[in-house]
Amino acid sequence: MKKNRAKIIIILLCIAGAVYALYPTYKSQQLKSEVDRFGTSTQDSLKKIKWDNDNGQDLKDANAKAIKLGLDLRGGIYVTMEVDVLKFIDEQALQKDDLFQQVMDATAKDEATSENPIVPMFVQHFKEIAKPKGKSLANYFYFNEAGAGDDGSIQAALQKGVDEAVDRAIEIIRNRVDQFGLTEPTIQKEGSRRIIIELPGVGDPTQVHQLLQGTAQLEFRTLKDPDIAKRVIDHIDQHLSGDTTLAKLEKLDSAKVDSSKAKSTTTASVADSTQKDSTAKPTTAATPEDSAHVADSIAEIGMSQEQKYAHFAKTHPFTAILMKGASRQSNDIYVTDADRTIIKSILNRPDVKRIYADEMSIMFSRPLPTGKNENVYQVYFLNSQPELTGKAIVQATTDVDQQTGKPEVSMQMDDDGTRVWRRITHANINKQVAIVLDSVIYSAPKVLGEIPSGNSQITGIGDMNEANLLKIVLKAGALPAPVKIIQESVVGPSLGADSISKGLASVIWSLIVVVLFMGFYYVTGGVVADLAVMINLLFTAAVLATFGATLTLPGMAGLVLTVGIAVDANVLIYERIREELSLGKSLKLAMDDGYRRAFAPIFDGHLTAFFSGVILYAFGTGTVQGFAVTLMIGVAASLFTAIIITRVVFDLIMERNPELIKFG
Amino acid sequence: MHFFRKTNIDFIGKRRIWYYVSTFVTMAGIVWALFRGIEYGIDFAGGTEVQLQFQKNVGIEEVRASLDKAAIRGAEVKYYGKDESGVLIRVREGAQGAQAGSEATKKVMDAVASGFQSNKAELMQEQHIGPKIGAELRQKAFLAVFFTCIVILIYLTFRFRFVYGMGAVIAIVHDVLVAFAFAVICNGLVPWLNLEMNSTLLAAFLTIVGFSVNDTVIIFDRIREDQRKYKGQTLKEIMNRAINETLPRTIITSGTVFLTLLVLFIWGGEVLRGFAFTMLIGVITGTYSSIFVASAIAYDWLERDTKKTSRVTVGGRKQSASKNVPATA
Repeated sequence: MKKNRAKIIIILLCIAGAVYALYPTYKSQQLKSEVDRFGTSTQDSLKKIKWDNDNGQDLKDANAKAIKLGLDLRGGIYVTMEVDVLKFIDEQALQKDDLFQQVMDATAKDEATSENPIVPMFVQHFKEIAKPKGKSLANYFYFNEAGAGDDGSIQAALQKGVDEAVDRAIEIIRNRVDQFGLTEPTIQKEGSRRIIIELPGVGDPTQVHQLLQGTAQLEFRTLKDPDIAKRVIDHIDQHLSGDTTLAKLEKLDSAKVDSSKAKSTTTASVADSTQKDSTAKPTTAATPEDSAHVADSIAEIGMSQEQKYAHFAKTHPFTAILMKGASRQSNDIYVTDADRTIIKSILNRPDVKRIYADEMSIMFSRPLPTGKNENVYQVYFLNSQPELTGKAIVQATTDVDQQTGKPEVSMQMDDDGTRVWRRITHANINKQVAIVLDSVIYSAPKVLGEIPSGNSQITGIGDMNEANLLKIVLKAGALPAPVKIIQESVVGPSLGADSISKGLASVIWSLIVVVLFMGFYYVTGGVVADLAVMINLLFTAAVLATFGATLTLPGMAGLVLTVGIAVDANVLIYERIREELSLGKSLKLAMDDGYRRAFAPIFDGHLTAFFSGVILYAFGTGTVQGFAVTLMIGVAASLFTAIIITRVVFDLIMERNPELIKFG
Repeated sequence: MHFFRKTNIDFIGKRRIWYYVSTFVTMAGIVWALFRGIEYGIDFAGGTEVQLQFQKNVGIEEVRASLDKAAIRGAEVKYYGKDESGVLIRVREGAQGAQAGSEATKKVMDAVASGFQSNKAELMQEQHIGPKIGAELRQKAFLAVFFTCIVILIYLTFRFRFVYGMGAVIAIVHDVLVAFAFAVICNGLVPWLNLEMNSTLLAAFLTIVGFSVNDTVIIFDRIREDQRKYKGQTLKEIMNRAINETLPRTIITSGTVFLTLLVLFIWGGEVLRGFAFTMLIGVITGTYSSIFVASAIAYDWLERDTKKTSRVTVGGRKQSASKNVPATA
């Protein structure tokens, strides 16, 4: 026992650690089944809002640490997209005569078979076909940045355009996917012109195609007057809390809005007409505020601050959520991701939409990082119609202000756009204009003065990255990135669920089969080996959860195989022990020799299995990689469980009841 | 319980038989397979594949007719799953009416919906692979098998000797070829056995490599150990002894892995069935090749070397011309 004390402690710690690592998976399953209970009635919607408030964060945390399921188990879409460089070149061309067409055709043939960058190929063909006829690239393309217009700089500008197109596409897609509100979408750049997108939980491919291939919508919108915004929000509140009395009171004096409502989180000086207090209403209600104050004061006697807030939240469910994000310093509202989801779900309800949709749009900014690893979103109240669309933008560039050294973005508009922009800037001096891409606000600069020339500078940008992002966004409206889907995999949700159950069934049955066999054949040794195998599976699952590795259906096959391999190690040891025993050695000596001699073959065998896993991972696609990962983890873990854990267990048994140890 | 206790089979002595059997099975398998034609899955061939689940059984011809009406020609339609209500529709790249994957799916779904008004089809799975990606995957598959063999050869040369590495690699290649042949031959023999060449099957081949080498390495380890212990015996005697001694372990381990794969085959569902079947074959041939082929090849190679020279220099040490050639470099 003494010599093994350290080992026992380590083993127990590992097991405890594994259980701890797997707890979030269990928790998220539990919480998910709770969420599924909510239906779509109004009652349920409100209940869900409350549930989200209480448990939303927990669910998010649990999901983040639970075992990730691959698309084939979760259902979802895996898409590889590629920038259609030819289309891009085509769109950039100012004129397209026969020669141009010939060059394009020649390049198209190459593109279908080769992986090489297309712009150089295009230029090559151009030199072969069009140059001899006296044409140069400048006849077909014009770029601001290309300066002299010689072939070299035009080619460079084309290439730059292609590279930027990929970034644009990624930003547009990321933006849109984010709005879907999916759990963990993945968008990654691969190579120089491919994008890999994984959308778990989405079952309908047509929805996704719109998402991925439609043109981006860039809009300029003015902000709604805060008073009007507040009034609309109040209406939403009333509707949600089922409060009709306030509506009547408001109608009496519709112009008056209690603007103090919006700012206070601690004093709920609002109209309160919940059940008990309806009798307390004064009969001479001159203005909403008066009756509100009286009713409230009566209601609030004896309430603490928290209670007052809860009281407020009950009657103003929507405002209450917004208020959670109200900033002390300004009129801005920043909400967390969880709250954003809640707000969106409220706003999407048809009954609520009827209240606000004509008057205004409520939109969010893109995720803004706070210091603490979380993102917040600023809430904007905008006019429901855009003033200007992205078509008006001709060019956008990043610059550094000569005097302040700060980054800024310059944008130029076309003639129509210039006219409209002049009008807007004239009418909105000192107010904000929001730049909106696909319903997400990227920037809301304040208009400093009328802009007659169509050339604007956006300043006050934090750093160069932000400036670049804004530039990408502005260009996205003007110049979409032509991308095409070159690979697509969709797994429907029912197949996904089916696969999970089949996978689990296989793992469990294989475990049972092996456990029974080992028990019969190697008696005590078998039972100990079975224990080791089960701990092995536990460790594998824990490692998957901790490192955020993905479990796929082949991954489950990998688990089944791991069960087979893990036992192999023990079979090697026990056969050796049997041999030593038959030579007449004592139990202790036989076990020592058995373990010692068996180590080399076990190690060699496991290592080669590990190698084939590594190569599979390197050369395989998503689901196959899942198999490789579980195989590698399982094999590595089995070195620990099959050799060390079983040895420790045997030692423990040896001390108490050596006669129990039999190897069949 | 003890299986295979104290056997004394002359594996090396009878090796000619095993050579003939192996060569015959491999050749016959490859020829038959080529004759039957390799069916590539969508990830290697490119195209669009849609898996639908109807509420009631459907006829293949009916499905094809509904596709033809929508001008989707040349589509393969076959049953997928336990009964005749699950259907797999494949449209190859470049076939009539085929376009970018997503649109093809929509076309297929629409065609089916209008053709089968009363029998709703649910989209279970859909895949679209462009021709470029298909070609890339094929290339990667080949490289994967190639690199695995190289890595194993290097590792075994390091741990034992080059000849043992070669013996193991030849055994592996034999295993993969036989499993490959079986997969091609048995593909579609029964409706629920889908063995087209795709990424999952490739994973099976590579795993077979891993297992086969595992078995082989165990035996080599024993040979090495016995050579140290029984210095007086000939190589043939030692190898035979080693294989006989490890026989129980080899059979049992292969047995347990076989059992787990059988579980996968029965309960694992459509997607994994092809994988499980291929691996089952692979485990059988892997065990066979480890026992009968790998060591025999190493033996013949070593014998040929010793006959050639009267003095054998092994890893810097001079030996007299005896058949006791150590396994370690």
